[in-house]
Amino acid sequence: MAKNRRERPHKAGAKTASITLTVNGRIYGLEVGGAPGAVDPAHTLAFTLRETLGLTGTKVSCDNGACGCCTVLMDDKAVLSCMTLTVECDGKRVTTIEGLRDAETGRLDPLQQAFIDETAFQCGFCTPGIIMSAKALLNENPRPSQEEVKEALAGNFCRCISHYQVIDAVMAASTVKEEVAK
Amino acid sequence: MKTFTHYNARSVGEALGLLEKHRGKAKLNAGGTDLLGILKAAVESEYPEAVVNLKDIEGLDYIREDEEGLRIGALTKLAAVASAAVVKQDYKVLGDAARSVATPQVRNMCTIGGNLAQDVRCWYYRYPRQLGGPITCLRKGGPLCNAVSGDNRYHSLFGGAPLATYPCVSHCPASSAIPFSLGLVRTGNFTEAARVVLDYNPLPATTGRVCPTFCEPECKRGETDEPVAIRCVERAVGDHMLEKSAEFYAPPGTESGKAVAVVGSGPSGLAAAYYLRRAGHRVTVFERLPEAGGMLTYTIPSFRLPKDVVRSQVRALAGMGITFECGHDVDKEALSGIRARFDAVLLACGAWGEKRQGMKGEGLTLSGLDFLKRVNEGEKALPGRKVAVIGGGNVAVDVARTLLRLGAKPVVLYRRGRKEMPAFSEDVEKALEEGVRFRFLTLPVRASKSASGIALECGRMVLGAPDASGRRVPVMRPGSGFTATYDAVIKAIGEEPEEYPAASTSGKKGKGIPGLFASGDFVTGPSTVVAAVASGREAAREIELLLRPDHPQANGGAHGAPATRPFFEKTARIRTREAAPSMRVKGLDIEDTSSPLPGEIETEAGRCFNCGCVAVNPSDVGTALVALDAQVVTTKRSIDARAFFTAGATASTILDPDEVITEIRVPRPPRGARQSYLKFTLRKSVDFAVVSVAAVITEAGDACTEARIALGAVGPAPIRALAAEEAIRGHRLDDAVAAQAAEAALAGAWPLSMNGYKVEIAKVLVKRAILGHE
Ligand SMILES: Cc1cc2nc3c(=O)[nH]c(=O)nc-3n(C[C@H](O)[C@H](O)[C@H](O)COP(=O)(O)OP(=O)(O)OC[C@H]3O[C@@H](n4cnc5c(N)ncnc54)[C@H](O)[C@@H]3O)c2cc1C
Ligand code: SF4
Ligand code: SF4
Ligand code: FES
Ligand code: FES
Repeated sequence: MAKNRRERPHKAGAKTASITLTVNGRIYGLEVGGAPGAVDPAHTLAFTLRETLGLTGTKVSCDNGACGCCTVLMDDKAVLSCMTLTVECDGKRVTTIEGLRDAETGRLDPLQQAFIDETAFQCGFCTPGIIMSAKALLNENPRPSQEEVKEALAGNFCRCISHYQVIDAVMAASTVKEEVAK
Repeated sequence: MKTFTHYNARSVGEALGLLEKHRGKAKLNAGGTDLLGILKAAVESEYPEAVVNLKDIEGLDYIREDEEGLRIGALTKLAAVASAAVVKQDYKVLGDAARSVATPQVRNMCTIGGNLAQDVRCWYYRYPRQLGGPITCLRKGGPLCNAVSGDNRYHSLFGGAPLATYPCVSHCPASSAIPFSLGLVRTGNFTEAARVVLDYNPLPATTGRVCPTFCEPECKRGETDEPVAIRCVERAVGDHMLEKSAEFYAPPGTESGKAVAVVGSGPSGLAAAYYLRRAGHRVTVFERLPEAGGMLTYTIPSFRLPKDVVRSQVRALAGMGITFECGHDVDKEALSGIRARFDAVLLACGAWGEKRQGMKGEGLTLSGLDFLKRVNEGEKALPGRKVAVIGGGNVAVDVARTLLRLGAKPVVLYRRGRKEMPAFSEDVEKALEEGVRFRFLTLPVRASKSASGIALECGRMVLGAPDASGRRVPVMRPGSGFTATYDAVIKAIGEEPEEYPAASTSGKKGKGIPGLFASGDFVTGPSTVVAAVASGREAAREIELLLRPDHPQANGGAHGAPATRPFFEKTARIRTREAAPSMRVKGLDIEDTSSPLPGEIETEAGRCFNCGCVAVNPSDVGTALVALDAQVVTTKRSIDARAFFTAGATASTILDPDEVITEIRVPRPPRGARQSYLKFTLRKSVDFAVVSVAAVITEAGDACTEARIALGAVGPAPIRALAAEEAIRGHRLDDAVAAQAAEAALAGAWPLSMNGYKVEIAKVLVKRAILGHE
């Protein structure tokens, strides 16, 4: 695991110089600054994931905190990567859509599979964000009610009106979990 | 996003140090959900040079309850606030407000401190700079609030946040509350407008004619088309006040039992007399000339200021019970007599002394002030046909224009250029139109008697380096001398206060002698009528302070109202009716400009934007905190939630640039109080409130005993609905009472062109909150 930011030496008033970030279990050390491959202080996490680390599964739509497309998990909470500065993620654990499938077997996460089974998308642009929001919900509350699913996904917008199927898919995924648990 | 220097602060102290280091050019970042939007669109006129992250500061993320109530650390996420058991249990209105904010992801990120400090969401303001440049609305220092003239469907129902300093007001020497009086004139309410004006200037009929309009060149409307004709409106209000003088210049309700003497009845003395009398003192004005009014009566020519205006002004003041003792020269001896009889004495005897020029043969010249005085006294004799006037100030120009009207051919000799003339340029313009000749860069050096009149030897000047006043110093061109002969020469090169024996003993013009005060030109040297008025008002304030130190001060500065009523109407500036120059020169008593017609004045006043920003404060938590009577604790102070949001047009809170919110304190609401947060949005999630209502209502038996109701998204700050609270207190909460309260809550609403619908929504929400319908 990445070294916790609080354990690093900190000089009061010093500019942020470098960060360590864990994405989908992999640790990245990133320089802060204007050099190629470095993280500019003004880079959002969405930008770093897509452009610096090549993880383009995370989508950016509004780039303003309003649509939920860029949702990722940070220390298990659903957050918006477009409204997060990468320099402020030192020591954080980030999970993106790429990190859901089983790294060894390559098997999709049951939630991803449910989206396919329920055809819970059309163009699919909003889907990574929706799945990450749903994932955060199921991690905390493996057996949510329909209302709770709706509430948890209230920050994810879909142009293609896939919402009905999305709710079915999340409900299905939560049932699958339960069956596995039995 | 443009780049910036970035810091991860680990303590509040470190964050403060960084803010200080970057002197207002660093921004704090908490959750970032608002700040990043501002940075991406480069909304603010100046992009920050640094961003200081607060998220790594430990110990500011907590929700605790003690005997006084709830304490919430500023970095607590709204998701945590919404789900905390203690909040759900006893502070429901806060929990509901927090849960209504944005989306689950945003609530996982954004902090309660950031929610309170967030910036407005007006779409003109937030328009991305990268899309063809910013929209420079009033909030960004531009001329006009675009929402007022444009799309304002989500904007304020209760007026706008005022500019910290209105450009017009801050340039008026009397600090007259211009937008407030104009706003009242717009609606035809001359009575209230007059009362506002009177708090700053008791002689508006005069200043409305002769003020050089320090305000108009600064008026923001001027950046759109032409400035508001502020002076013209002031004149109309002033004339209205003189017509109804018994109403506006009424004797005070109670007498203070104190007596004040005012020496000098010019504008400064008159203004002081007004405020002193208004405060209840017995006021006697001593004037050495036969008639009161000072310079207004004796020097300013009647074509600029008709004498009947001055006379009715003096009569109005006399009607308040001010005694005028004219023809009473107060010399040193008389002054000590007066000082013995009065509790305070104000010396406002103007600047009637004339400067000496030092030219040879100066004794052959006539005095400009003296000439004007004699003409104003009715002596219309010409000193000659061909008359030279020496000087470039207002007196020189008034002398020349008077000469012209009496049939002479005046020529003004001035040692610098037109640009450097201290006279009001409007009057120079008129003099030129009328046919007064000016010889600039000309300095008379010797006057002598000649067979045909007075020979004036002059030199031609060139302008050298600027002096201390910024004007360029004229230097004589060698060998440029010439001589011209005139029937008469009038000298008007400036006035100065006369040596006043008693006052000069203090060396400081009355200052320092107990009970003796001074104001106006007597202190400053020749200035303007409005400056003399302001100085008289200030002297009255000082005297009042001496006479009644514990009495609340009433005059001046009473109209720093919290909200303005921004306004935009496409109308052209009033065309003041000026008599043609050829008509004007026909007589001394033909006023240059005639009064505007009824109706025109309201229209002109309506051109005032009433400069303010009509964006609403977007914070849901803020509205709940106002209903809960919470405190916002910062590194500097503890601020009442209501006061926290009462910033002006350029900031959404009163936070200083080097101030950090550390805690929110919420007193425990009464046990059993019914709390609700109702928020109307277009879409259920994400959207900001179109209108919201936070209510904490206590009932006992079947009547309401206590209520706090706050309205959100309807004003520049959350608004306490005091009238609605009053309407339900002590009543059984049924439909009729709730409806009445809803009406009361919205009674003062003032919808813009597109947001009238919000009034109805707000009424429904107030009713529902009172009746307990979620
Ligand atoms: C899509 C979307 C929808 C939204 N809907 C709503 C809504 O319905 N209701 C609502 O109320 N809000 C809404 N918001 C606004 C959001 O709630 C605020 O942006 C958020 O609460 C701000 O918190 P933050 O911690 O992210 O602030 P930041 O963005 O970090 O900061 C906001 C401002 O506050 C200053 N600041 C932050 N912390 C402090 C502090 N401790 N002391 C002094 N200054 C500080 C910052 O310098 C900055 O100027 C919405 C935002 C988005 C993106
Ligand atoms: S409401 Fe305020 S922010 Fe919006 S255009 Fe007007 S001045 Fe600008
Ligand atoms: S528009 Fe009105 S408030 Fe604004 S500067 Fe002009 S007179 Fe003053
Ligand atoms: S792209 Fe981040 S919320 Fe829309
Ligand atoms: S599936 Fe197309 S945006 Fe949601």
